[in-house]
Amino acid sequence: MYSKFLEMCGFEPKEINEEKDRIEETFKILKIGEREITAAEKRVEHLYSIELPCVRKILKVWINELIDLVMAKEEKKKIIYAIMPSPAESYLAAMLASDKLYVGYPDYVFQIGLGAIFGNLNPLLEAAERYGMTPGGGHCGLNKTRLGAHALGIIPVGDLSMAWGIVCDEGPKTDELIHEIFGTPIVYLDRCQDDPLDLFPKINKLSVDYMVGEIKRAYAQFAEVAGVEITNELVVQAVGILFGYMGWLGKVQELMRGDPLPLSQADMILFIMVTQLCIRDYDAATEAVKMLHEEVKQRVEDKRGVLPEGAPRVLWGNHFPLPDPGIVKMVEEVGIASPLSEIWYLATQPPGKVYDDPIETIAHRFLEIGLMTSVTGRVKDVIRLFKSWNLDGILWFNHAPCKVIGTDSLMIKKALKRELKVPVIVVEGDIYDARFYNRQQMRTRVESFAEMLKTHQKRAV
Amino acid sequence: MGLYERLNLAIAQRPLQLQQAKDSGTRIIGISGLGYVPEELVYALGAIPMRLVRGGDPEPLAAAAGYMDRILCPFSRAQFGYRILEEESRYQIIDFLICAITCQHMRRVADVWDLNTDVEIFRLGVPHAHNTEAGLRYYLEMVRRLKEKLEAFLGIKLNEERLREAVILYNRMRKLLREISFLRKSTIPSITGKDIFKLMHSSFYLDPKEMVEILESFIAQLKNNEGKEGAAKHRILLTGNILAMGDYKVIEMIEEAGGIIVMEQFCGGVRHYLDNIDLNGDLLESIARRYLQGRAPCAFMRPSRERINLVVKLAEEFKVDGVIWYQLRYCDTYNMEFFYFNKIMKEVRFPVLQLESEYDVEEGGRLMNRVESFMETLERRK
Repeated sequence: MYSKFLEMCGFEPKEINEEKDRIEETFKILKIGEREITAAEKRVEHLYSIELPCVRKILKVWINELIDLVMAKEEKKKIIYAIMPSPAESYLAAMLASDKLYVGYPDYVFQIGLGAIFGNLNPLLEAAERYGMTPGGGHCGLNKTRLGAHALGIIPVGDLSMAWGIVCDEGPKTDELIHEIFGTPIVYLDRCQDDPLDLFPKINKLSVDYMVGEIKRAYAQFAEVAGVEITNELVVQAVGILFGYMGWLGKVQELMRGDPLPLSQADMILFIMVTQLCIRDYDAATEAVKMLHEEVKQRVEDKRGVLPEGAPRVLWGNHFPLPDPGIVKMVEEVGIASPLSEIWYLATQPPGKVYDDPIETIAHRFLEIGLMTSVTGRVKDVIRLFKSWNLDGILWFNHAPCKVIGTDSLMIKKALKRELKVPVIVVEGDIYDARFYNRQQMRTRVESFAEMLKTHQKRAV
Repeated sequence: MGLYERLNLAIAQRPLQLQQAKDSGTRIIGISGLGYVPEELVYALGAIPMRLVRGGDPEPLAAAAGYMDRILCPFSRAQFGYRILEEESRYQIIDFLICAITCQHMRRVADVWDLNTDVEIFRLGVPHAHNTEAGLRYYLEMVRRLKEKLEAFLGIKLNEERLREAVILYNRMRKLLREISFLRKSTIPSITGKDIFKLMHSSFYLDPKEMVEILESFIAQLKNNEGKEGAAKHRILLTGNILAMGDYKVIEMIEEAGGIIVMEQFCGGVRHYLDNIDLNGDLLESIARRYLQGRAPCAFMRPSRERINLVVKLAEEFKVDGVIWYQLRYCDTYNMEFFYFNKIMKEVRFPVLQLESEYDVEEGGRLMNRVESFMETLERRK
């Protein structure tokens, strides 16, 4: 039933056979039957460049992540859950501490695994809506995914939830809700977002010190639960692994400057997301990203791409939607190339400075991203990216339910129009819940915007 | 002059008083972020603290629509909407605005004022990890920075003795509010919930010395009146995130439907006057401790179970028949908390009604129907 699909996603028949029990148990828990597999085959074929071995390889990494998450308790692992936004390297260090632990971001894994690949995320979102995140209440689909997975019992109750409140309020509140309903022990991490608007790119020392203290406090609680410590050596090792991968990804990102756009962002999402959470198989992911680099380099040299040469190019505000890569495809079909997204580009940069205390480096890297500090910091980053990438406009895909990255779109649009004097569109969307918008309606707006971009291009010439 | 006449007169005279004070050089310091900014500091520096707590009207939301995303809670949008409507003097008269960065909604209030007005802004970080030593240290440091900022802005150094006097005055005001509010433990309360809100909101607006006098006259008379107002059918505890000054529709509905609010637990409700500042030890630290840790935490703080426990305790102490949870649309943390709040209240057998508002005039009929049905439910339980 599932062999053809898994082979499309890079599995060898031998691997499928060896992993048969785990695969079947996972699919059973996730209620993935014949119908879902058939739908996923079509979906993967349409959305991803599966003719490329590197894309198949990274799809396999994600499916394995899905299996590892669902099977964690059955395989007698202690489970530590993480939430976003948080620095992935801090969890990668925790994961490296012991192979008897499952450390991960369940929501992200489901967003990619169940959402992007299987197109079957909605049951989780709907379950969360029955457990306190009421529909229409402006709740984030990422948090709904985590709560819904608990509500449906498709992931085990964790041994510890490390609830990062360093950016948003709803993320840790979701963990508090999970704690109250399902009993997951919890440790909260905190940060205040009180920087004056003109401070960025300077870093608020008080904020760094507080964040460092919070991470260390959480690590102490982790050690109590996990029975192992996250040492500085582990953090350094984690940073090495993550930045090693990021280095290759950065090279691919640079190649996206090529005209025509050499690769669909639908494919890129699968590679970028590896940097946003801790995965178990960095070796396979790194091999895949190196292969991707070779492929994209060749395409740039051959002047091959997914859009015609000269297509208008935009900065994608926020990041590309996770469970619905079809939106990215739609924008590309309309004739707009988006070589980078604001958040993911910034979040995959190495730290500006390395400190003796690796936790301090983590905190600094986080706070070097403008949107983590202030609306004007965010605008400064966007303007810098816009200018250095020689773009024609900005497509701001607003994550409307988010109280952090979705509540500054009007302020940002005004500032960008004033500073850059280029076409800017704010599309009311949702990066974690495709039910939020109507794709056709969105397409009509994006088509009009594409015309505006083309006019702007001609006038600029 | 009757109690309420005196209060109403003081409220009516306040805009002129403020304007005259401003004209004579006194600075008026706006405060956004409800209960996390120590007004005592402002007062001790010779300026006038002015809490911005208006809400409940749809017009400011429409006015703010081009500046603030619609997914922000209506209270936060209103805090800028009143400013640009230019119909509410307290939003026009301020020289400086202290914004407590409590939740993301209130963070955007600071941003929109900062970007669109010439009022100087100070962001006062409020740690959500309210119960940790690190959280307290952070908040204390921010209070110190606020003090320095105000000293520079006002051109005056904070005098320890004046700060102590201010703390004593505000402590007295909170103690009086508590005494008046707690009179509602009586079977036949001598003051309604609406009047308590009016007093509390007036205490955010009027001169504190005058307010203390008003509260003292209230308490003297109310104690004599105890048991004379006639019993309402159902004793209600009203709770939620924010009940803004002017957002009184739900209170009126409850009272019209035969209920009496005997306790209210909002950011500006009982938590405002339940605890006072300890005068022993370092005064700034005592202030920080009271503002951050002395009050049961809001839903955006973590953990926030202590506040739910407080509701249960108050519901029992005040012998309430039912609890009404009033939340504002898009307030994500309170909306989520309701899910387990409701579960806990059911366990302790208090009936609960959840209401939601976006300050829309058209929601009145729907809310009233639900309040009336809830009162009928309470009736059947008796």
